[in-house]
Amino acid sequence: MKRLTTHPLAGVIATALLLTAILGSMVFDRVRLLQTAREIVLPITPVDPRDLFRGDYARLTYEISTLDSHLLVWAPGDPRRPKNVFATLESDVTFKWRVVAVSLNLPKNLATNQIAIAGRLNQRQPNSVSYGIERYYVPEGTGDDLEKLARDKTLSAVVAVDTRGRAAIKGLMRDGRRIYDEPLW
Amino acid sequence: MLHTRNRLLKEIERWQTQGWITPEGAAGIKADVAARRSGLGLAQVLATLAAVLIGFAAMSFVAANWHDLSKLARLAVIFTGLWSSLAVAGALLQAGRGGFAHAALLAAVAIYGGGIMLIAQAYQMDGHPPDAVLLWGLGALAGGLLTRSNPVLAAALVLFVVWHWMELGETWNEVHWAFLPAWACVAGGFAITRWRPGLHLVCLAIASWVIEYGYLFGSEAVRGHLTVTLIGLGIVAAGILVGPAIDRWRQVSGAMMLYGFAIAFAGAMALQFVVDRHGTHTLLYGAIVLFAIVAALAWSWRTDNKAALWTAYAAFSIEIFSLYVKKIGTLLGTSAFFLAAGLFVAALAFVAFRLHRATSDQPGEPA
Repeated sequence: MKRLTTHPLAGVIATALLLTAILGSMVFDRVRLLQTAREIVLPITPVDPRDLFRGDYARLTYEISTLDSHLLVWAPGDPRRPKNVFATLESDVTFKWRVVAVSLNLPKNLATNQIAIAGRLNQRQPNSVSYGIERYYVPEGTGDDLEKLARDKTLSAVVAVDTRGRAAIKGLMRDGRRIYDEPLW
Repeated sequence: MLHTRNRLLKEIERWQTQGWITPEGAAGIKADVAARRSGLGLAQVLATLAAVLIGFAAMSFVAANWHDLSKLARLAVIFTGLWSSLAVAGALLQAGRGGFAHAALLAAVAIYGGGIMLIAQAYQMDGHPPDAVLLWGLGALAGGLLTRSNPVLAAALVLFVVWHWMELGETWNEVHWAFLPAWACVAGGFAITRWRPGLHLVCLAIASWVIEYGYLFGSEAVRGHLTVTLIGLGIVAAGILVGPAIDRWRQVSGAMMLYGFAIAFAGAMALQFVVDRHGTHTLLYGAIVLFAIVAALAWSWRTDNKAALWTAYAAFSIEIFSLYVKKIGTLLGTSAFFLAAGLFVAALAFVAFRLHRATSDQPGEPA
């Protein structure tokens, strides 16, 4: 093996600082999002229970995960269709959120009952979109309860969405009551 | 290395028997070989394996999803592991134990990857999974370049390949160009450290990427596989024409010949047996490919490129077997083709023998 650099310790220290900075920025970015972003509640739709749990996380899907065909600005089979989109959500009087528009850029001048959320289109399912909130880690052994709740349609996710459309799960609700809450630290 | 040393020791005994070197000279060379043998080789290999195991321990720690610990406590464990590994690496460097330092650096990079996963888990970050592997690879790349650590650079390459495959799994019909700059950075790192195994790793990675390119346009599309074949031939041509000039900078012409030939052959195989599955042009393709393989064999022999030679032997066997299975028209047609090819190669062997004898018989040359 080759010798390390002329100033080997400098390389090791620089590596330590760099890797720490990357991991630290991940944490602080997420904490800031959870602390400052607007909060919305999205009902979780039941999924195939056989696929719901892999290990210690739950696979969550939402009503907003499937886009209506009339909202798509590209043909379903178009190979040039985008990977990343922004969905504009609008809440009705019952605070139920639904997708009212899909765009390639972050929409501006939204009404107070609207919010934009960034998503990634599923390449195999033209109408399916992921928002980065589809996986929820649960304590070991509590998966069965969550699975039952998801099947009973009584589960909702509390999601923080920042001004850039990035989303993060803050917790889970059942019948308007929080059953899981994500601590910041 | 062990094989080379044993072969050298046998050769020394033979030279001594022949009287070409004195017993004192033989003893001196053997003593020098023994002195150069690194007793730490096995220990360093084991240390590297230990680093990999520590990495898996870090990942398992994440998978264990310790809800009994607060997020802060889990982060503290990861950062403590990361800094401890790097501190050990620094201490080993100071002590002149470079090999073990590389293992400690590898462990640090593995723990860093575990840290990415832990943070993703702790903060319920789903996102785009390949991005996490890319971030891991970039951290490994930076660490490898900063410390000039070959194992860490190799780990970065492996991570970039995994990232590439994950991206490709989502969009099979798109060329993943983003892999190229990542690959180039690792290749540049190995060019700096001049690590031969690293050269082969980057060559394998890029050869796989190029061959895979041929299938991205649909397995039966001529365009992709033809491009792959031409790229392979282009690399071979570059190895022949400008290889010696490049070798003055870094010894790469041999690898260019080897991997260029392998890429060209993979493309040619796809053209022959995937695109032309009905056998419309089997005779033409088979003749061209066999001729190219024989040319590669001759060139590899001439340049003493053993790896390319064995690859050409393997290609010859695969080609012959594939033609035999596919058949050229009828069994009789296949038989005629092999007979013609056999006579042609026999004629080449005869020419080669005459040339060899003419060269050997020249005055002053050993017989």
